[in-house]
Amino acid sequence: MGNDDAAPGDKLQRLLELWDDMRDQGREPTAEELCADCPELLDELKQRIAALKATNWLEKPHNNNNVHGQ
Amino acid sequence: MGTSDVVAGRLQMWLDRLQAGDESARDELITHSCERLRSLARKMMRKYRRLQRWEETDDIFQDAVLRLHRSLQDLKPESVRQFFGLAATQIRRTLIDFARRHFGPEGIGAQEFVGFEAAEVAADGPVDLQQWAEFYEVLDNLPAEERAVVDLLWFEGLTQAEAAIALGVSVSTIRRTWYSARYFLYKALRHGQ
Repeated sequence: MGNDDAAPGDKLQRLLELWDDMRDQGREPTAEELCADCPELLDELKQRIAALKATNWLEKPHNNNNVHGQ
Repeated sequence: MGTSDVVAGRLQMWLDRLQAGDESARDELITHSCERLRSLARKMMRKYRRLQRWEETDDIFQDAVLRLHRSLQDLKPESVRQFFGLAATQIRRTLIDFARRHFGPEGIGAQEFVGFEAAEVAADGPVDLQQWAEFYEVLDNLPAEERAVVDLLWFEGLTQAEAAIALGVSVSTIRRTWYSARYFLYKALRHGQ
């Protein structure tokens, strides 16, 4: 998927953006699907996706978050 | 030209004077940015409701201003954006210190502290003051570009397009830096790296 001539870092970034965009559209792809033609990036992409999921709460601006620690 | 442009223009003038060695510009900078600094402190304290019982926003604000004043002796921000980035850093550090003072082992609010095992951050983010303090510490350790993007997108609630304009970079760069910042935070908060 994407340009095969791209540097691994650029390609990883594009795959991450694609994952994010598709998730926004309600069609979250798996890392395996995204890395079908670049299995060497699979583990790294999985980690990056896990990071975005775990920090999803940062998508809400600071003022709009629920208040914790009360 | 809008009011905010005029204020930004004045702040930039004092920043230029500070760069040129005019130490009186430090007082002018802080005096003329008080309203925005106070607003920033108030925003950042919203996560610290428990702390608010022990400290007034003004106490935090005054302490942060003193730190900012001191830091301007050594650091000379070149732009208004850098100046408020430095201010946000000082407010964060003040909050961390206040949280530790009150909710650390010897703190007067320690009996209220709900244990923290420095492990995982919940899906909705940090769940108590100690975790928030740790989160702000990790933020402090982010590379400068990542920290600036987190400040704009998360603290100030700008869109990626607005942040790109503010920092003079492409939306693509903002997005890459935002992902990078979140990966850094994920590793640091989850694994204590």
